[in-house]
Amino acid sequence: MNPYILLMILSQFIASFSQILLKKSSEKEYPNRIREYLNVLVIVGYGMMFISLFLTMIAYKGFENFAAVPVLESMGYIIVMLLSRIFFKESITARKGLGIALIIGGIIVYSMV
Amino acid sequence: MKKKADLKAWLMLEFVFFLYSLTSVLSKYSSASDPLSVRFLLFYGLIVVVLGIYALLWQQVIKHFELTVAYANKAVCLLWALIWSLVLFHDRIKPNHVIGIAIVMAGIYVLNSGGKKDGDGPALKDDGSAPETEDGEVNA
Repeated sequence: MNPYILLMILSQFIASFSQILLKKSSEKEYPNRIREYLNVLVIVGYGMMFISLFLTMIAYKGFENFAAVPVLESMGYIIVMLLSRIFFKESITARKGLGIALIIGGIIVYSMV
Repeated sequence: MKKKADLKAWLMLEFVFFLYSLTSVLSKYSSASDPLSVRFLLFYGLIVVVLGIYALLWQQVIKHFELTVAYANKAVCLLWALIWSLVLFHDRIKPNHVIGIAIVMAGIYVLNSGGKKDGDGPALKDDGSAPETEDGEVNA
């Protein structure tokens, strides 16, 4: 297995978890705009996103065809849906399942050489 | 009033992903450079600036949507990628690109057209608060 695939999976897990932290922060009340952005959740969230971005950029080098990257990135939609179920009790509905299935299917069709 | 609030949130969501699509253009340029070269650092720096603006807006946008819905809308970046590859990289568009994007857009439409039919709350409430389930419980 191409080790860059594992790198992409790791990158997507980190990116998806960072979204959970950001959403957690956005649901809180803050005394002012500065605190809304400069808090642990947002800082750690974006720190994770930068790590993920850096890993993805390294992974780009591992694929001869850049098209492989968006397909692997689309795993993030599923990961975010599952994490949102756990952390925010967002329901996983047929509508969301179909929508995300179409999105990932479309990305695969798009990426076919 | 309701439509105005909806529209504003949707437009902000779309604008955020337009910005985000620029980062993939920049990372394509930077990954073509030697790691830690001046060129690489320049593009990486630009990515940081664009992501900074994106971050400020994203934090506001996700207040108005379920995270799953907001995040999956990121797939619209594929449409932007097609536009950038045409305009900047002068790539040829293949039929599967157009078909793929059409399927993606259909998926985004399905995802965003949240109705009550499947027991699902709307993706967006007019006051911008978290959607409620049918028994009035807040989903967030």
